[in-house]
Amino acid sequence: MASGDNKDRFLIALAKFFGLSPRKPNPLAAVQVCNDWFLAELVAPILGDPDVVILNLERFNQLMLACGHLIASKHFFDFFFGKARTVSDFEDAVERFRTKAMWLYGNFRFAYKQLSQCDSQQFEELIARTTLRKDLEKEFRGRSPFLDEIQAIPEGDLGFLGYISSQALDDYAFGLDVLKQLVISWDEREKLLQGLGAAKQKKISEILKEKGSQFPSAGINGVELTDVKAIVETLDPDLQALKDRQASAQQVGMRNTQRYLTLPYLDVYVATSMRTPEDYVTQHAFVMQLFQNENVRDLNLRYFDPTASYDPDRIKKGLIECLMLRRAAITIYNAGAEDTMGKDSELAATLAQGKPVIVYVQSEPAFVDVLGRSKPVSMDQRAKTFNVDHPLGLQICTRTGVAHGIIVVRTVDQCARMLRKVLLHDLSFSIKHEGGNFKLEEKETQSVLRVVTDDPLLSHSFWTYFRHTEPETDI
Amino acid sequence: MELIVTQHAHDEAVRQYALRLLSNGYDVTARVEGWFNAPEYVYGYRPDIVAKKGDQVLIVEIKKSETDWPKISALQRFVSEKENSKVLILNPGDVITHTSTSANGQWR
Repeated sequence: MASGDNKDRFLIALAKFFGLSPRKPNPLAAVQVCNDWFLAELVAPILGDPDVVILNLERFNQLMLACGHLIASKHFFDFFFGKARTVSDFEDAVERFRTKAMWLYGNFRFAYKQLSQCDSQQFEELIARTTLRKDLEKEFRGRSPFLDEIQAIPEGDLGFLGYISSQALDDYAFGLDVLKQLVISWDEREKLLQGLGAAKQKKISEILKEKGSQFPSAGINGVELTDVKAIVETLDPDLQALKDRQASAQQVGMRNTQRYLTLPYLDVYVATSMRTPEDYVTQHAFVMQLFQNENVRDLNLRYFDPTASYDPDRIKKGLIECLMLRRAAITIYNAGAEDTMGKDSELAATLAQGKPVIVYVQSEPAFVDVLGRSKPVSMDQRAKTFNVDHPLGLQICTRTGVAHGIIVVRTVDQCARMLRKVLLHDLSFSIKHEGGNFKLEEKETQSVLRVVTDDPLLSHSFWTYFRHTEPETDI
Repeated sequence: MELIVTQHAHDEAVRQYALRLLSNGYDVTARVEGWFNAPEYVYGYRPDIVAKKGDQVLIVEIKKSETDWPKISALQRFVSEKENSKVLILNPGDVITHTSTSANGQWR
């Protein structure tokens, strides 16, 4: 005779199988379509002592009918419940089903309908989407190494590829051009500086001061033509050398862009913000460390490194990045210390395409200074924000309606490890029920990758207007 | 021979010519980010420089390649329809000042 405790555990697991939030006294009340005595009659022979479960396809399908669900195929039953011999086994089987249901459809009831009704070949194909991809691992390993295809740019010159970071060089050039024009038309110096305006003269003064030359921030009294000419002749070679390096870096970046545009496949998009030359250097170092890490090195992954690509036109560069984002199977988001529109939209766009995002929030240094902020940014706090309540942390796949979350990692090593696991579908999950939502949580990072609400009206309305189409292919 | 101008040379010429016009007392709008307001569009194209002095309007276009011709054509159409306006089409080489000195000690 089954103990009341085991019966409760069995009924609670069954309620979870149906996507219900189990409530006392009858966890199945929301779906049960038979009388209570009949449900008790069905359950009694399933549960033996001490916690034995005796379940076959016929009994399982009687339970499904009694709970208003379609009967399941043999392959469905065998795959999930065929080896359930104890209540614990049954609970594990339910968790397996729920994990696959959340992964593939973001909905328990629809997932049951699809998985329990399809033929065995379709069933195997659907399940295969969620299981270890041994074949893909072999395919990755068989590829040639990637780095040879993309030309390296000297680390110190990477900053020249950025629109914002290279603006400093343009400003320097403008400052010197003003001085050159003063030399050419010295008699018109007042007119030129007045036309330029006080704010711009001050800015030029600051730029030249950084280069070790003095030029007044207002007016030009006391300055001789020879002084201005001397500044130009001193700084112009320096500027020309910088321009040559910029031109060379940009040329390599443009060549790399053509290579990226024609890659036969692209696995990873690396999203980040690159505003200063330092951003370029740190981002490039991150990319190099990541893809040379022992956890992924053998996979010969193709990745888009935005620090190695350039197009002089911002609109084209934007289109190129959109295409790379679309082609890549996964996005790695290097969070840095602050949110920026560019990389945040790339994160959201990836999730909206139903593809995974790994968010890397550096653990060291633990605090990072940000221009314009009085206090340094705590990276632990930033990681927590991404893990718990970042507004972009959960996005709906526009194709399937399934809510996708992000994986938050704290070290390059962990990032590489999770990258491998995500690509090869080697992740481990647990399901949490919190605040009226079921959450599919990745075990190592405790990142939420899928959610299902237990609110019946919201769920019904959502799936009425956001019709199910096809299952998800990736986590 | 086909004209091909680098972005750098083009931008440098725009900067230098805009400053030259400023020295000559023009109000200048130019495609020099951060330093000048951008000129208004003319028949769907944005000129490199639009300079005004009194009722005179001067449009300057620095050539980049042979594919500039529809833009140049649009600018020419604009000045033909507007009194006191003129368009100047320049090659970067005609504009850029070199600080290496020539035999007479002047910049080229």
